[in-house]
This record gives sequence, C-alpha cells and structure tokens, in this order.
Amino acid sequence: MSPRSRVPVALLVPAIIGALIALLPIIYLVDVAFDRGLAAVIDELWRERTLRLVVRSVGLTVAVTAAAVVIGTFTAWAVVLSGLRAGTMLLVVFSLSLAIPSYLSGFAWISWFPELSGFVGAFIVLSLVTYPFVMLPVAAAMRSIDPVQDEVARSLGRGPVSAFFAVTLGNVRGALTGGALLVALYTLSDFGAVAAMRYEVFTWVIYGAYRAGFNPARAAILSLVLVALALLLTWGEMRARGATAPSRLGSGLARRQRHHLSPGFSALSIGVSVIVVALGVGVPVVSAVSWLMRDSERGLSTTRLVSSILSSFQIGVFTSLATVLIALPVAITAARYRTPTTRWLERSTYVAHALPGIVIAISVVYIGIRTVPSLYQHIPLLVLAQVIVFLPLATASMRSAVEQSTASVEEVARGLGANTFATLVRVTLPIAMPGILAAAAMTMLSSVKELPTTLLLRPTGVETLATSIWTFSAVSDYAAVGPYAIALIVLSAIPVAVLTATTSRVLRAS
Amino acid sequence: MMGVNDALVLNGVGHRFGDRVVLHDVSLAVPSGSITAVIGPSGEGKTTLLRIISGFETPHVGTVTIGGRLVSAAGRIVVPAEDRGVSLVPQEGSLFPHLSVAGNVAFGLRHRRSATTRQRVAEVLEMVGLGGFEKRRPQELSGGMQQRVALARALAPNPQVILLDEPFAALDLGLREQVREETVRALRSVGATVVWVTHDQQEALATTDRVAVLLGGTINQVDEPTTIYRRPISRRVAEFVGDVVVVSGRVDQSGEVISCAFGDRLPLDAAAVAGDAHVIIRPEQLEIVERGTAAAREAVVVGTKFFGHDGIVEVKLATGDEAMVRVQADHLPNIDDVVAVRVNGTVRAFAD
Repeated sequence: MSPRSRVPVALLVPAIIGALIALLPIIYLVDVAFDRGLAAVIDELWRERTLRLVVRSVGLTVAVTAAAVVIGTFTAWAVVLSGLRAGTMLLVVFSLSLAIPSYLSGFAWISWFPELSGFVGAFIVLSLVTYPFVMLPVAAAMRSIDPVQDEVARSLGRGPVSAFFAVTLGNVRGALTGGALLVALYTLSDFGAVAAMRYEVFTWVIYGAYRAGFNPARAAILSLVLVALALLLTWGEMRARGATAPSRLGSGLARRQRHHLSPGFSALSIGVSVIVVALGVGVPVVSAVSWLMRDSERGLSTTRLVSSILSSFQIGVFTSLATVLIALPVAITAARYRTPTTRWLERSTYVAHALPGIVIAISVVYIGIRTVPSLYQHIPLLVLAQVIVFLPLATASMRSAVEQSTASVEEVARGLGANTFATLVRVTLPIAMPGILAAAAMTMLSSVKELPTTLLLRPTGVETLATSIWTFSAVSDYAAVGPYAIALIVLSAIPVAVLTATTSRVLRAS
Repeated sequence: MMGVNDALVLNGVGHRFGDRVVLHDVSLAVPSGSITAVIGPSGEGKTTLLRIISGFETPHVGTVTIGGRLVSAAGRIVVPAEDRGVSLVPQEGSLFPHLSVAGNVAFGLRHRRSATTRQRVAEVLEMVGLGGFEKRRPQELSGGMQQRVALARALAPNPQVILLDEPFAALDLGLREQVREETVRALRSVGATVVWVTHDQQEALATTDRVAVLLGGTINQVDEPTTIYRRPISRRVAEFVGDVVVVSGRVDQSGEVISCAFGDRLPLDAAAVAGDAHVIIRPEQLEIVERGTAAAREAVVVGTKFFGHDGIVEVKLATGDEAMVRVQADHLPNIDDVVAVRVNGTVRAFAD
C-alpha cells in the first residue's frame, strides 16, 4: 500500500537540484567525450589498452568486494557477539580503519614491502580500508533481528551455523548488498591506494592523462566507461535488494538478544577480527610512528602543520554541512515516497560515487571556469566538488535513518494538526537525527582524508594534511610525512568516535 | 438521517484500489459525543474507511463531513489531514520515540511550553491513569501503558473525532479488557466523539453506543448493540455479531408465525413474507427442558463444550437439523443422551 504517492513540491524541487548537482560531471563528460564525434569515442574504446584496463579494474573490484563482504560480516558478527558495551568498543576499533585514508595505508605498506606494488598491494589495502562499509550496516541489521527468529529456526532443527545462514544472513541481506555496493563503487573510483601501489586501473590512468598535457577527451571517455560499470552495479543492487522491506510492524519492547553459536564459529569471527585490526590499523599507525622517529632533512615546519590542520578542518566542516543539506531532500523522498521518480533521483546520486574524485575535480574546474571563473581555486568550488563526491554516502545513510520512523507515526502527527512540513521538522527529522549526525560525521571524516579534489581545487598556497602527505610521499620522504600522518589519523579518529557512538545509540534505540 | 448533532457524516462513500472495490455506498452519521464501533471481518475495508475519514486516502465517490465542514468529496481532499481535528490511536500506539511521554501528549497542543499545556498534559495523563509519568520515555513503558499514552495524546487537543484502529489487538487478553475499560471511561468522561474499528464483535457490543456492521464493503446496519444483536436485518449480520442456529421453515399466511424443526407456529418478532424462510435463533434462546414438556422437541446430544461459567450443548434433531444450546455449566448432559429442547421468545426469519 502506498499511502502518499505524490511528493510535495517543497521536497521534490530540492531533491531534483541535489540529483542534478550529482550529475554535473556527467554533463561535462558527455560534452567533452563526444567533442570529436562518435567515431573517435569508439576508436578510443576499442584499443587493446582500454580493454585491458577494464579487465584490471573489474578484477580488482570483484576481489576487494568479496574480501570486504567476508571480513565485514565476520567483524559485524564479532561486534554483535560481544554484547552492547564491549560491542560498541569493538565497533570503534574496527571503524578506525575508515579513518586511515587509502593512500596513507598504501604508502605505509609499500614503505615496508616494496614488492607488494601492483594488484596484491592494492587488493590488501583496499579490502582493509573498505570492510567497515559492510560491517556498520550489517552489525546494525543483525542487532535489530528479532532473536526469536533464530530460536524458531533452531527449534525447527537447524544447527547454529545453518540458522546463521538462513535467518541472520537472510535478514541482513539488504544491508549486506548495500554495503557491498558501496565497497565496489569505492574500489572502482579509489585513487589513493592504486596510486601508491602504481596499479594501472582507470583512476590512475585518467590522472596520468590529465597530468600528461591534459588529454581531456581520453580521460572523459575512460570515465564514461567507469560510469557504465557503476550503473551496472547499481542495477545489480536494485535486483539483489529484492523483497527485504525495511519497515517493521509493532513496537514492542526490544528484547535482550541471546546467542547460541558454536564456539568454533565464534572463535573464527574473533580471530578474523584480531588479524584485520592488526593489519588494517596496525600497519599504518606503526609506520606513521616509525616515520616520526626518523630524522627529516627538511626539519618540521610547525606553521605548515598547523595551517594544514586548520584548512583540512575548515574544508571538512563546509563540505559536511553542504552535503547534508543537499542530500537530505533526496533521502527523505527516497525513504517516504516510493515512486519511480524518487528512486531515480536517489540512483542518480549513486552515479557520482563511481566517478573518480579526479574526474569530478576536472569537471568542476571546467564548469567553474566557464560559468563562475571568479570562484576558480576558491573554497566554494572545492566544496561543490566534494559535495558531489560524498552525496551518495550521505544519501544512503540518511535514507535509512529516515526509515527509522514508520509512516503511521507521521499520520498520527498529521491527525494532531501538524502539516507536512511541521511533521517533517517535529517528527521525521528528530527521529532520524542520530543517523543525520552520523552522515555529517562520516562526510566530515571523508572530506579531511579526501585527496584528488583537494589536490586540484584547493586555493593557491593552501596545503591540507592530505596534500602534504601526498607531496612528501611521492618523493619517498617518509620522515617528513610522519607528523602529518599522525595528525590525520588523530583528526580522523575524532569523527570516527562520534560516528560509531551515534551508530550504537541508534542500535540501542531500535 | 443526518442530524445537526452529527460530528461526522459519511455520505455514499466508495473506494477502490485499482479494479478492486473495497468500499461502496458507505453512509454513516456519528452523533457528537457518541462511541460508534465499526465492525467487520478482516480485509473488508475497515482500515480504508478510517484512512478516508482521517484524510490519508481520497474517496473515489461520496463526501465526508466533519463538524458540519466538508472535508473530502469524490476524488479530492478538501481539508487536509492536519486541519480536520481527527486524532488517531493506531493499533501499535505509534508513540514518537524521540519524545518523552509529556512531549508526546503535548504534540497536538498549540503553545507547547506554556503552563496551560503542562496542566493539560497532567490532566489527560491523570485521565488515562498515568499521572506523574510525564518524564518517562516511551521505550520504558509496557505495551498497555504505551497504548494509554497514545490515547492521552489523541485526547489532549480536544479533537472533533477520535479514531481508534483496533487499539487493543496487540495487547494480551487480560490486559486488553482492563485497558479497554479505562479507555472507555476516559473517552466518556470528556464526551469524545469516537469511531472505533474492531473485528472483535464482543468488544464492540460490550462497550459502544452504536455499532455499524461493515460487510462486503458496505455498511449493512447501524444500531444500538442490543438491537444489532437481537434484531439483525440480515442473516449475514446475525451470523457476524454472534452465534446463531439456522434452520429452514415456513412462514404462514399471517406473516407472524413460522413453523420449523423446533416447533409449530413460533412467534416472529417482526412480520415476514409468507412462504419458505430461514429461522434465526440465538443459542441462549434454546433451553433444555424435561422430556415431554409441551412444545419441546426431542434431540440427541452430539457434543458439549465447557467454558467455565457456561457451556454449549450440540444437539441433533430427528429432522437432521443441528443446533447449539447455551446452558449453565453445571447442567451439561452426556453425549448420546436424549433431551428435550424448547425455543423461548420470538425468532427472526429471512427469505435468503
């Protein structure tokens, strides 16, 4: 039953604007790619090196997604097994690897094991960075499962492992596929890890095309292939999500969850978790500390460190605010009004996630120079580029936050005299607030770590933590990287703590 | 049948989902200050009817008038849900999880931080037996308490109409009766106009002023509970609101008596068309009497059900007709006993 199929204009218009902003780079890509006609495009596509590029990118994406799903599910299970208090602490520890940007992890691994350069290195680093995208939603979904379901399955003769696959995994299927989609899209568009590992996938080659005299047509055509792959993934996720409706009936008291799991299975999930934490968080942190111990030829410039921190922080705050404001209408319409229009509005924000940051940066430069040249290399354009980068993440997490409240709660509010807007402000948004804050924190955190758009769009003379690390690492001056790496890890750890604390509050409330 | 005192009037309301007609020609007038039950089997459009009244569904035909104001007319919402003064109490309570009990109850009030509001919140909470619960969170309350907060929240703004949608279906049996009685007391004490949707006819008969029977997508009968039970206008209504014994018979030329397996010339409570008809008898109208009593018929006991306070005896007459007889529990006969059964009072006859 779809009680309200018509979307109010006051929501629809900002949602359309949000979706259009997300699609801006596509407009640029199509314009530039087809500049020399269709034949040139086909010619570029059929080159052997392009096809090899597709195979390499898809191979890496499939491998990383599979690894992240396995690691994410095991760690989520370890979190749920550990109960509420210990589980929340575990969640924080696991999520720390989200705080480590992929280029920093990449440089850390390569500085220890130079022979990992290439596929293996990129695979290891990206799997360890991306698994929280699976773990966070899956842990939340696992905690909201009615424990009686597991008991029913057991009473019907299923063993603990079989019940886990039938009931638990069945219930978290939506969260799992959503997380896997994020991992796959992240891997396709990641720049840092493959750049550090010098593995020639799309993003690294596109960056090369940009650097080497800026071949915009080739960069645009390759980017369009990436978009096509992303659309394929998005369509697959739509199919896979299937009939897992998130809405729940009834509002009985949350029951304390009990687990009947074989000790072997528990030991396995805890073992996997320990190794993952050691590798994902341990390697970069130990590297950063050891770099700090070395003597740098340059010596440390405290002024540059402080100003880097401040500009990273400032850009992060602006980006986070703008992203939440623009993503919220899309999230609300997608959660509350399930029409083909709203579904496509939501999907169009996903598309941007498969666009490498470098391509988004190039398109925003191009569009900016054409329309508002006075803003080129100023903060607003950089923020716009980052908003496009982070819209999908923010939309997805706020959408599920809005789905926390049932439609019947909103109808009660209407019956009590609150109009559509008042209901939004007084009921829907407050209930969704923890999720919105989580999205803001996540965006803030990602913005501080973000490399490619910052590299291209930062105002002249402004250095952030990310660009400093990039510059020094590129010349293997790891001693100079040390303080920036430590500062970035610490700065990112604060939002991660906020993020996981709110997430666990949501878990407790539901 | 529309009166000036009617708080809510539905006139010829019809609705369909695609090709499936869920409601047709529903007309109902709810007098101000009355509690009206809408009963009917599950899936016969009760919830749709509530959603039309509250303004979340648009009727395809017909009009809805609340407090003399046209709020919905064929195919359009004239007054949006928030301006109707129609408070909802949904089945699962649907308390706002982010607000305290006081925040929930004050939600529909105008100046939410004023002293008047605080007083009003305390007043309605007192009314539902939850005085002093202002600061509690919904999550800390039991299901029954949550339901009472939902009621207080609906009462607080003095709405034109309160809609209860199976409000106690989620509660367990013992709690259910207690919460129901408290709810009715609170609703009566403020003279609220209530439309109460339920599939539980016992609940409706026991607690409301008027009962509307919704069968086959339309309202078959609206009357006081006793009338609905004793003088149902059709066999379907009779069967829905209680246990019935149905046997075939023949109404004589006068139209005032009927002859059937339970007796010759049983008096009808309303004149019927002469000819073949079905006789509708309530089990409590049947009585087991001494064998040989005048006008009694002999029957064999084929089954008994024991309910504690009373019981049901299933008997089979020589004609093959079967019947249920409600008896005192200490008078349950044994299976295969031969007993005599007599009809007390008047019966109803329907041609169909």
